[in-house]
Amino acid sequence: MATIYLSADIGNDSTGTGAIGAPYKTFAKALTVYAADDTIYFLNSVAAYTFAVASISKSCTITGESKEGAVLDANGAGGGWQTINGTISISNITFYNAFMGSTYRGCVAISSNTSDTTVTITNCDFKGITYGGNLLNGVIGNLAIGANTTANLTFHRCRFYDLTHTTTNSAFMSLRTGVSTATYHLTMTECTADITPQALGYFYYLDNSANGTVTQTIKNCIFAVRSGSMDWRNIFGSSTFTCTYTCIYGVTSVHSGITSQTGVTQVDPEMVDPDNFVFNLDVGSPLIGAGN
Amino acid sequence: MAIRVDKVVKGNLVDHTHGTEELPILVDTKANIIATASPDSGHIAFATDVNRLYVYDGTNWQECAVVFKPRTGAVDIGYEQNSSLTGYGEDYITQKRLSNVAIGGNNTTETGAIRIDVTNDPVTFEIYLKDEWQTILYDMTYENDDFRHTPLDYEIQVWSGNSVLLGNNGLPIVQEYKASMGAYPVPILVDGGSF
Repeated sequence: MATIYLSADIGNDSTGTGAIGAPYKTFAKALTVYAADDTIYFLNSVAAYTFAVASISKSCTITGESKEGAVLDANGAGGGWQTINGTISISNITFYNAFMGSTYRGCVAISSNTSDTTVTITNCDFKGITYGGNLLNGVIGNLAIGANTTANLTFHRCRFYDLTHTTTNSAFMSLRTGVSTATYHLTMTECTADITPQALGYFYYLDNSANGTVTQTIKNCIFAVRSGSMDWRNIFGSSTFTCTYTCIYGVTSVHSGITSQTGVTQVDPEMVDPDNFVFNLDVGSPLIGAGN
Repeated sequence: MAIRVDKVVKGNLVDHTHGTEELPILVDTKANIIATASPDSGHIAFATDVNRLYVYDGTNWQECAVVFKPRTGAVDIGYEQNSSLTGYGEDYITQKRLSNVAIGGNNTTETGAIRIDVTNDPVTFEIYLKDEWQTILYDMTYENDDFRHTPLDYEIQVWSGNSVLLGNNGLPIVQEYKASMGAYPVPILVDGGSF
């Protein structure tokens, strides 16, 4: 299990070796040389890394030295790690300035996988993401889960903010099974999402009309729609949806489709300064000590 | 905040007010703590009525500036798990009023940063916006619905450029931001051009 180092400042895809003293420059280069169970390591850089569409087909660990220094910038174009197989851990990275349009479904998505796939995303920021144009386009989304496979997508301690929701036909979270033999488990814990939609749309969209097996588990999360209006969900097909100790603020039609809930609240989370991305809970916030 | 203890007295602290029982930290009301007779130097106390920590330095009880707040066993909801109960966060202050303070210099070039730049003459008051330091104008007054600028010795009406102070002939000393010589300001000539 090797570690492949990247540096947006001093890395070089042509002359680099991936060693810490001679890092590569791009994630695309690392994907051409990495072996199963390797670690791809984004060194802190002043410059941003390029965030482009990529396919990850082998188990690996992808981590940044810090979220502030490992910023992946799509420059407003389509971005996203779309097709994933294996067991992938992603941590300490900021995904920035990407467009989830007609082709790209989600910044990190399990789509059309050919084997069981587990993706765990920890301590990552999703900032400046634009999404819209199709109900399948979301900050968190996928196209379809592979037949006879199980997909596990987990977000733990992630932030979603400075988002642009452009059309009514889109959703912040957009999931689709595609076939009846697909199994999809979505888990979100200790995450904060701050959304200011420009158009009425959906916060959550699930298309399980193919009647695959879907479970959704959300715990200790904040979903704040501070202005504008969004419906909670648009769900086709059945699923198990457990939502506990979570604040869902500013979203209409809440609780539709949630089959089990404890400690769910719709109060204002009272964050210190969300306009300037300070999402700490302010003194007196009802969410302090309200988790589990 | 670090608390330096000169003398380790663990196990030997004696609460003289309540007897000879040994207490690692005295827990009582603020008044009783302050009234403790002959506390040992390094004695630590917690005042339950004001939620503050105290350390005896041999002469006085030194009071910790930060107030303690009770925490339940449950975690907070959301990503941020270090939200401050007192308003003093790791990188923010909230729900506070600043009184009797002075603004100084600032090396932070972050949107919203403010500073006094004493290297300029006159000294400038600045705010960091649009990726650079912007000077905030002062020497302004607002009186009787009139917006005035006081650059030096005169109050100037901003809309007309005339001074409030009048000359001996009743005309403004400064007219349209221009001053004439002498104590009798000349009337403004309206030049209609030539035929």
